[in-house]
Amino acid sequence: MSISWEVGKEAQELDKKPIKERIRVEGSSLKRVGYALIIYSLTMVLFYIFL
Amino acid sequence: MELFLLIIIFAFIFESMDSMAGMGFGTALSPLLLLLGYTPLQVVPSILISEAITGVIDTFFDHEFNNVRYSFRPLNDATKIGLIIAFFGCLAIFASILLSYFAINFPDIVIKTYVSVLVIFMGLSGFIRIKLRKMEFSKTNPKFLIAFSALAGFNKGIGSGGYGPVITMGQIFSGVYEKSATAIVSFSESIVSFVGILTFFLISFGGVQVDLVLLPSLFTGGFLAALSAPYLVRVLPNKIWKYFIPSYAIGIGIFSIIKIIAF
Repeated sequence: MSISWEVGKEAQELDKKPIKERIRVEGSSLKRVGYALIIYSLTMVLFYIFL
Repeated sequence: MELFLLIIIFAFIFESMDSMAGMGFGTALSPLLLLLGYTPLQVVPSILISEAITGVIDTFFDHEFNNVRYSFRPLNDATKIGLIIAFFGCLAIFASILLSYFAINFPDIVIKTYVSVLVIFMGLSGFIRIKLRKMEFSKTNPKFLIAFSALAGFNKGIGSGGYGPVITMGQIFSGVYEKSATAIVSFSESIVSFVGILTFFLISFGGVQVDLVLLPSLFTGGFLAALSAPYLVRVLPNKIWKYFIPSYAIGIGIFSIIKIIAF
């Protein structure tokens, strides 16, 4: 393992940017949120069937 | 299948706090659910399953929102840290199974007091560290991380809480950026929770009845938190997390002490 961390470099760089830029997310991220909601719905259907 | 609004709200609040501060879901939510009249066999497996799934979602969105970046090929530092912490967490679960198998019980009050004091001490050290860093006296050392992972694993193994606070504060003391430290805890906790679930499956083969009535509600609240918390961590500046994490650790420690005195 390296002596100094490379962890959180992207987060540190993002922190240097103004809040407006941190609030803005890419379209691909929103798409992934949509996929996550589909996974949630499918999981709830499984719970409904098995529980 | 039933959904309980109160449980969904509690799960959302405590999973959000867990995701943002790296601690508190099990420590704060379990006693609350037990106080509401649910049994340990209703509470523990549901929390483990919920935390395993929401931990994966949380990890994915922490990566997506750049709070931390994971890579398996090549293995980067963040992934290595997550796996080291998870390794000690999994060892701790096996240790606690062995201890209960051989019926070795440590005095409950002594252990809980020790963990509470340790968590408060780590929270206070977090504030001292901020002061020292301002004066540039503090140095970071990656080797601390293994020691803190072992300490957190030990706490979990002897059957008490304090895994999240020790591991989060331990990472920060080892030089990991605050935002990334809480994200890595979610990653390793989800692996540890999967091992915990396997343990409960083994127990249920032994004839113990596990009741998952709380799971849909815990999962719903936890899921919403796993989506929103990584985004909030991204948007708010690290300065806030620098103070919020040790403050929450002190709060958890004080809550644990009150729990010992009151019950």
